Amino acid sequence: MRIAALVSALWREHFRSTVVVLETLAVALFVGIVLDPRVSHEWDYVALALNPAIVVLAAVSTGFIIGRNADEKMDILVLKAGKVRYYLAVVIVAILVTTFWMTVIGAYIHLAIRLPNPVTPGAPGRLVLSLGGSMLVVVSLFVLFSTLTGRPIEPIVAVILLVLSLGSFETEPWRRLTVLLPPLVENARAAIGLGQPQWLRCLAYSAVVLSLGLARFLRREFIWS
Amino acid sequence: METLVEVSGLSKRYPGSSEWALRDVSVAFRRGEVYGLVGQNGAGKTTLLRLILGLLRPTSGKIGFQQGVRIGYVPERPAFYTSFTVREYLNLTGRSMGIGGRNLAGQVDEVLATVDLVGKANARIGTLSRGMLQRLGIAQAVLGDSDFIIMDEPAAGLDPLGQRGIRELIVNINRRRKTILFSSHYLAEIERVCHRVGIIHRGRLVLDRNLDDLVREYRGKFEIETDAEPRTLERELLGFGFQFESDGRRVRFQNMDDDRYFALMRLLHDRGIRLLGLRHSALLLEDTFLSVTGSRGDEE
Repeated sequence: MRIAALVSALWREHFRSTVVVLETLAVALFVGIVLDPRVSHEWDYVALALNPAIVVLAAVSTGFIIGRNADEKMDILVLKAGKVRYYLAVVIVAILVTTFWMTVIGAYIHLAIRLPNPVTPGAPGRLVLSLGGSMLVVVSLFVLFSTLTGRPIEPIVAVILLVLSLGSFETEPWRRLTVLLPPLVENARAAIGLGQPQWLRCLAYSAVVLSLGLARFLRREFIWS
Repeated sequence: METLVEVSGLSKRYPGSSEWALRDVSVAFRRGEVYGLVGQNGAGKTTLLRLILGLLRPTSGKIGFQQGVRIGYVPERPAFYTSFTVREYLNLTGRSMGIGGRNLAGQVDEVLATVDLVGKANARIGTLSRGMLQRLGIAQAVLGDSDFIIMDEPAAGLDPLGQRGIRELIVNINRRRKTILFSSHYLAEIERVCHRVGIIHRGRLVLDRNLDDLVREYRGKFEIETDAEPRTLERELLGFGFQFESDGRRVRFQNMDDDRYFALMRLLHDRGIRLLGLRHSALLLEDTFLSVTGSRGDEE
């Protein structure tokens, strides 16, 4: 109940803020430009376009939520609910907000986009798993690197991680490095039928990253000046 | 009196700093008392409060809590969700503690009445005045029947009426056997509401006394200024067995009880000595603060 109360409050606060206007504009621009309803789109195009969209949406939503809540307002709620519950509530809200916008885009695709060819059975399920996995990973990374968990980790580390994840490491010993990298490219490829969605790996990756974030959060000092 | 929270040898040095924000502080807070923490800016008051709350990690030392003690906190500058109404915010803090349903509604109504915000229950927090925000801060701290309430400068930035309102709230809350620890710059406020006072100076707790003991000790201290020739006055005073210190026209007395005080006044009257000035215990805490911290007005 405590986590639910926090999630509900953070969700309400987010959707009462002007930030939601920016998010609406971003989504509108995306669908207007990339998913023009006047043109028919192939399924693969739509699936491929949604992958960077979820990365950006997850990053933006998580960033906004943490930016608006990881300040003095946290003190009272952390003391009331406990640090673990507060941390989990922020993560859950970031996931829910991203899911909300993806649902809006999904509804738009369903209602407004013409797909000239029938969709392969299983393709929508693969897409959902890919997008879900990528969303979890991006939210986790942004939480770990943010001011929520303490002094922010150098953003360049996040950039390096993301750039490396775009590469392909098929030779030894570099292939072992891939366990450290978020499987975003693999998910994008799986969305268009080239491989399997890495949802299990995403789940494990997110769990590890969120645990690291929680450990930082529990050890952090709540200093505001 | 039972101890709710005990601090032992607490020290804190912030990362990247060579100076100690808090050094070897030991103090116990007992049920039903109001403890006033005084100190200059940067002395370590907020650091001590936030260490007790667990918002900071001590470098060394221990903090012990009585089992099951519920702690409420009023930050120096309470920050709220301005889009929420007062009731919404209190409901949120209540649910965050695990209070729900009708029980929560009843408790929220009660704390709103305690802090006199019933009329503002459905007002947006963003529309509240500074004094109302402070009272909302106290309301959320009291919610859930907290045993130990920590307030960081609760009257800071308020006008005299607002300050009095906060003082009355503290007394009101304390009447229900709640322990209150609050930090303040306003010495008169501390003198009016506290049972015990602690003075922090450069990270150390240099004084930790019952206010009654301080008053009893201080009432015996005062200073007079007369129109008498200093040596004549000193001779008279010595003749009557008074103990004093003199620097010309000013004479300082210590350990004077009421009888000796009236005897002094009678002496001055009988000898035709005019009393030009008398400085008494109205400045109790200020003098105590200045004497234990060794501060002069022009130092800061």
